[in-house]
Amino acid sequence: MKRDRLLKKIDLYLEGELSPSEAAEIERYLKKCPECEQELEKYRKLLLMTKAIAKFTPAPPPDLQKKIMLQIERVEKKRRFIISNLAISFATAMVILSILYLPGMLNITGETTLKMASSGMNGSVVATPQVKQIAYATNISPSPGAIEVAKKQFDLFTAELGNGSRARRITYIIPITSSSSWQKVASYLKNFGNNYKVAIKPIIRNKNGDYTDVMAQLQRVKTYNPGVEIEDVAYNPSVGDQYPGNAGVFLQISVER
Amino acid sequence: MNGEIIELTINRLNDPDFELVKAAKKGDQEAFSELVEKYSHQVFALCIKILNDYGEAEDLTQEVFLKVYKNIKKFKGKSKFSTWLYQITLNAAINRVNYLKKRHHYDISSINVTSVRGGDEDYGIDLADPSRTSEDDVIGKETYQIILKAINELPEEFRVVILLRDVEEKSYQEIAEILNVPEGTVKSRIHRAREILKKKLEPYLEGG
Repeated sequence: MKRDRLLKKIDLYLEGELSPSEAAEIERYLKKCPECEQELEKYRKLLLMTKAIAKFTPAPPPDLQKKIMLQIERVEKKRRFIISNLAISFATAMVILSILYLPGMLNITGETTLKMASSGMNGSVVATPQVKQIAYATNISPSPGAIEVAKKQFDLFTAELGNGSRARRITYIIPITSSSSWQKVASYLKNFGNNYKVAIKPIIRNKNGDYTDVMAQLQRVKTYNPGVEIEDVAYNPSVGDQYPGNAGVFLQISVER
Repeated sequence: MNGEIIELTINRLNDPDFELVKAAKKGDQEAFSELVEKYSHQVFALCIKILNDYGEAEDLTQEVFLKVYKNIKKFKGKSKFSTWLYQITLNAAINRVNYLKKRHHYDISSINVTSVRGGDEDYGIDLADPSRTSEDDVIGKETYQIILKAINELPEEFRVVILLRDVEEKSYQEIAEILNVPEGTVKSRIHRAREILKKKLEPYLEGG
């Protein structure tokens, strides 16, 4: 029994892995057991043999380290490439999305702005590349011809709303030259019917082309709603007079589905 | 928190690779290259002994370092870097052996470890080359093949511990860490493995 227990530790003894007391116990026992001495000898040889095979390990290829580092470099390049491509793809996707869908996506108000610029007075349609921001050149004046032009533009706007556009509301801006033109626009808007919610408000365009809400600066202006008679709508020319040239008073008209 | 600080301090003192690993974690490729330089021989040596095939060992060594590179940020330093590296190597090698056995009816004990890709002498040790044999060599080529075959025929849990202990000269404690088993288990596995080997190699162990 003791023999078996001690023989189990014989290789540990040979490797010097036993405590001094355990080693002394084995040594004492070995002196009394020649058979155990033989076992010890076999283990000693076995250990020499198994440990010796380390010496015969083939050397790795001389360029192994280089190959490893090259592979790592390749992976690193690929990783950087993927990251930068992802960033580019993301940015591109965002630009495309913003061009195609942003107006629709921002649909709390869901606005596409269609500006009727005051600069072109010939009724031609100018499309800018940005976010379906189309500048409709028109002139709303009391003359029947000008009203006709404006009507065409409005038809385009409603077609825009009905024609697969994601926008739910289109805002367009038209110049007004007098309170009568304002009246005419307002009465025309009544014809939009109840499918659309239309709102108008006057704004001012300064020389830099920026529009400013000047509701407060104009007298007695009310938003227009279909089916509600326009009352009390007036234009105060003195406000427009402050903005000569391309600047002036405009109507911002929102047509909403 | 305190435990973590103490552990890190101990590892800083105990792990000779602490600084290199720290730098490599920050993306310092030169530091990683130094780790490759330091350990690629050892990883290759373990791979070739487990796989018994030069080409496979070379591929696997590259794979191991790639894995280490990709995962070095996850290395928490709870063991020495070398222990972690051995764990990865061992797992990868055992997985590869199992894969090869399944796919190619791979017989680990029958492949000649000296078969070298390309047949270039520099790519390995020609065991038959007498210039390689010094007086210190305990065994000749034939005996070497017999010992290696006997080791490779051991059940996997025994084969791994013998390779780590006798061939790689790892301490019992290190082996326990690498295999994540108690040291006592390592000792009994090694003893059991040696008993089997002793029986198999009996004729070579007799006499003076």
